[in-house]
Order: sequence, then C-alpha cells, then structure tokens
Amino acid sequence: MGAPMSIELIVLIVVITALVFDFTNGFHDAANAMATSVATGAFKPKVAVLLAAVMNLVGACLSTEVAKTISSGMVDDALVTPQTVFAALVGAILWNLLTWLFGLPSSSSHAIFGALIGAVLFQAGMAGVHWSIVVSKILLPALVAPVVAGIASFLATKISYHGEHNAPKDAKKRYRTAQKVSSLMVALAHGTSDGQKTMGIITLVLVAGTMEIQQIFPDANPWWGQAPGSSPHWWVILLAGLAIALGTYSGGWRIMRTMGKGMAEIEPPQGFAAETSAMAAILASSHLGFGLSTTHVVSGAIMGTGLARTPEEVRWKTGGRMLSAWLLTLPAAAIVGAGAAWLAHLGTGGFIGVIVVLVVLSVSIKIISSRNHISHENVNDSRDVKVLAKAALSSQTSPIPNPFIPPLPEKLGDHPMANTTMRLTQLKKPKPKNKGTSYPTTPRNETPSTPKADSRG
Amino acid sequence: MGSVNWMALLQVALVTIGATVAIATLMSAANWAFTPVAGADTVTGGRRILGFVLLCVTGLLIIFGLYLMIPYFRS
Repeated sequence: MGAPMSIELIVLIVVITALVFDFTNGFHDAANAMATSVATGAFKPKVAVLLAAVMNLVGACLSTEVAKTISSGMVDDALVTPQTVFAALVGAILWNLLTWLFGLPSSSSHAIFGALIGAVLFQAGMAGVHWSIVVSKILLPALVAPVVAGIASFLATKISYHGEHNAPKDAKKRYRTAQKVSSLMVALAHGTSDGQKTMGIITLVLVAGTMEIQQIFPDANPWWGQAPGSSPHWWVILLAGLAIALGTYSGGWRIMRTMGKGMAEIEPPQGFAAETSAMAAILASSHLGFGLSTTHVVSGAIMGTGLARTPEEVRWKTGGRMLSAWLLTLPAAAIVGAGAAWLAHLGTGGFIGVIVVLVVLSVSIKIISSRNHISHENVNDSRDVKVLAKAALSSQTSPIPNPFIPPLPEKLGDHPMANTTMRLTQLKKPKPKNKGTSYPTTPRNETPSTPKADSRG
Repeated sequence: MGSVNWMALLQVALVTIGATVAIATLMSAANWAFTPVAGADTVTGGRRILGFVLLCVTGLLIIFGLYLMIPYFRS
C-alpha cells in the first residue's frame, strides 16, 4: 500500500493539479469566445487570444462568489476528499487533452463532473451519486443549451441577412466591430464562471486539508489554512486567474479551427449572431439557476447560424463527432476518474503512479499533436483537424475552393491547349491566405467566373 | 431535490431567444439606416441619426449584460 502521504503534500499536489486543469480549461475554451472572430477576421488570432486571456483574468478576479461545492449536489459532499478531488482533476485534464487533440469542443465542466462521479463511484458505489441531480443539472441542460442557442442564433442570422445571401461590405465592417464586443463579453463571462470554479476546488481542498491537520493538532494554523465558509486567499484568486488566462493565451488552435471553420463558413453578421446568442443564454441561465456549458452553447449557436445562411455547407459530420464527444464526456471522464481514484487510494506509490500516468499521457498527446501542428499562423487554412494522417500541403490540395484560381470553361477540356493550361494552373501557387480572411461563399449553383476580391471591409 | 425546474428552463429559452432577436433586429435596423437608399450616394442626415440611435440602444443592452455579469454591481 505504501506509507500515507503528509496532508501538506497532498494539498500541494492537488492545488498544482487544479491549476493545471485550469490551464487546460483555458485553452480548451479559448475558442468559445474567439473562434468566430478569428474566422471572420474581426481579430487577428494572436490578438484574439491575448484579449480573451485578459478578459478571462479580469472575469476570474471579479467574481467573489466561490462555489460552495464543486459537485453542485451531484455527489455526497462527505465523500469529497482531497484524494477524490485529485482523481477528478486528473480525469478532467486527460479528457480535455484528448478532445483538444481531435479538435473537438467539449465541456470542461462536464469533464470534471464526470471524473468526480467516477471517483465517488469507486469510493462509495452508486449510493454516493445523486443521479436525479445529474439528470436535472447536467444532462438536461446539456441537451437544451445547444438547441436553444441554435434557435436564437438561427433567427438572429435570418434577421441580419433579411433575405440576402451575403452581407454588404460596409455592413460586414460594422458587424466585425460588433463581434469584437460580443466575443470579449463571452470571454469575460467565461472568466467569471470557470475561473471561480477552480478557485472553489482549491479552496475546498485547503479547507479539507486544514480540518484534517486540526484533527491531529488542534492548535495548528498552517499559512495556507482556510476555515469553512471563508473567502478564498488572494493568491488563490490570482493563481487561478493567471492559470486560465495563460491557458487561453496558448490558444487551443485545434478547437479554434473546428469551431471557426469546421462546422460552417461564418461571415461577421453570423459571428455576431452566434456570440450574442451565446451571451444571452449564459446570462439567462446563470440568473435563473441553470449552469449551461459555454462550449455547448457556442457550438449550438454556430450550427444554428450556419443553418440559417448556408444550410448545404453545414458539416454535419463534424457536428456528429462533436455530439459524440459530448455524450462520451461524462462516462469517459468517469472511467478515468475512477481509475485515478483507485490508484490514489493505494497510498504514496499510487499517488505518484497517477502523476506519472498523467505526465506520460499528456506528453504523448502533445507529441501526437505535433504531427499536424496547428497554430495562429495556419488556424484558418483548413476546416479539418487531422491527428494521425499527415495534413495535405495547402499548395497541392485545398479543402476550400481557391477563389483566386478560376476553373476552366467546360468546353475547353478537349482542346490540346487545355492540357497546357491545366498544368500551368496546377503549378501556380495560390496567394498566401491572409490570417482571418473570410472567404466569399458562392452558392453551389453558381460558378465563379472571375476571382473575387477580398471581402474584408 | 432532483426535480427539473421546467419553468426556469422555459424562461431561459425564451429570454435567450428574445434577447438575441432583439439585439439582432436593432443591429440590422442600424445597418439599414446607414445604407444609402437606391440611387443615392450618401446617407441622409435623418437616417444617419436613426442609425446612431439604434446603435446606442444596442450598446445599452450590451452594457446591461455587463451589469448582469459583474457581481460587484449586483451585491
């Protein structure tokens, strides 16, 4: 079994793990606020994540209402020990990394809830979990959130385009400006909610650790000690805020690509509609007692706006993969959480084993991701996030028709010169794509006869 | 303890859809106001003023959203 670890060491490990989770939360959810803005060119990619990081930090520091319980009543709180929290964090981190690898937006909140459920299931079996709360506070909102946001975004897009297929150039410019505001607000909202979640986790661990020490040494008062019900330490607020901000700044470009390009082609009015719908859903739900996942809300809104303007170009396959990830989040995180809990309860050796497994898997995921590296420089260059297959070179194959290379007229195909022309066309490199350029969308029944100019206002 | 608050859920849905549609309508109307009429090169003074008013109303709604979001204003 191994010798028991000191309480201080356990608390330290859990706090560090919580900050790591906060970091993964940051880059995993960076796309929620900024994906559409990056896709339409409202913000340059690096500027987008910098601003989102600042807003996340501000939001995290603004909120003083730390979560009373990280479980929201889903599990018996008496079972939530530092070891349980540690196992839950490990499960959530690994699920976040895995979905990031595949570029799949999924809820970090659901990941930690699922991992927590798994850890408690290992400790206390089915009796430790309040399944009715799981249904009413997690599953049902998870189903409702994307649908509601999608409907709102759909209607808003229809209104914005009022019958037109493409927005006029000057209108796009105004909507880009509006998008900047709406995306910053989503980033701020994300900071206030997700930032304080990790603060709550750390605070609860400090409280639990203090109580455990005081059971042995009643007069003990460690410097990090915390009484039940007290406000978080200033350094907890700062560290949690910095962790989520740094994670946001690192970009999460794989998920950014999926949300910005992988589901539907987005123009500025659509981006504004999607972000506004997400904002309204997040604010309404938080004030009326429902916690909706930002990821689910924004993803649903993007699908809704894509359906409103270019329904034939919505990528249902990506939507299906995303839905699969959402459905798998709870059970998959629960399995990992249960496994981590089993190892952690073996003693010091088990704890170290969990850390080793976490580090090894994290590094492995990072190495695999480097096969198809996505960064701020190429985030808009494709719609797909490839994992194991080598990404095609953009000069040879392009998943998006290049509007700068006109197709040959049909009747020219048999002329001897056609072969020469075709070879020259294939050799001609496309112009480097500007970051965040929004491609003019051509309906399928039209063939572009002339190269279209950049539609950015 | 675990019963679903369907009324709250419905309220969330209605508020989300209503607020989004309202802001989109205001923004769309502002864009219409800033667009010159057919045959004209510039926007008339009246339409420009209307456009700014509509943008201001949109901005006020967004500021209201900030008010709802920042706990300091609600404590």
